[in-house]
Amino acid sequence: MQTVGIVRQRGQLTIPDSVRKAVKWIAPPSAVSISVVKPDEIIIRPQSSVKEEVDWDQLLKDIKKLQAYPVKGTMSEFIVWDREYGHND
Amino acid sequence: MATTTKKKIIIDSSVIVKWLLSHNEQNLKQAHSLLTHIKKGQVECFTPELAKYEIGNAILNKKISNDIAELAFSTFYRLPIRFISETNKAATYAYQLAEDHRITYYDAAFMALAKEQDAPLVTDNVKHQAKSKEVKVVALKDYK
Repeated sequence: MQTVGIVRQRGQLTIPDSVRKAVKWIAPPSAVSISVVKPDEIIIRPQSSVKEEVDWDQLLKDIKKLQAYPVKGTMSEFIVWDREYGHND
Repeated sequence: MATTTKKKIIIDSSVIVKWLLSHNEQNLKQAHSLLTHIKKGQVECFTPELAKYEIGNAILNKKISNDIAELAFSTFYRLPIRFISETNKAATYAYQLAEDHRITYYDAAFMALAKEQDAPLVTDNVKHQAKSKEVKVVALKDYK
């Protein structure tokens, strides 16, 4: 879905009816997260989903498991080498 | 509407890998500190889409079992990092940086995003990426 809105005085932007009907969380008094990701792109997301989307306990457990896995050399050194020489191999 | 302002940081692939297959890696304490700041909502991390391919290639290079590779990708894609597509303006700037400082376009792409987002670049590759005074670069070892 794509629609057009007009930014008014003091940056006020009304979310069009068609969007509000399609996306239930855009209703008062919901808190939203606003992120400027590019000069021409803003992402609006429900604040609750931003907080809940990462299962930190599981993520940290998996990071710990990966950290213990032995690998030859290091990933960061490979990244640096790959940028410089990888494509010439 | 509630408004929260997080500190915006651009992270290099050389930092992201500290949260993946980081056996033998240095500066893990600082990487953990950064992750804690993200968890607490104090910091928001951005990186170019390029990081996905660099890290994919680094995982491939380590010749690990499929199970561990799957876990590494799954962990990577669950990290709360925003991947940003390169804009025409950032590409032009990255090209200039690469030319002026004799670094690779890959190194410069992260620096250009930092410039575009007006945010510091945190990297474990300062040798190549700390060459421009126009981009604020923080070495991971100095991250607090």
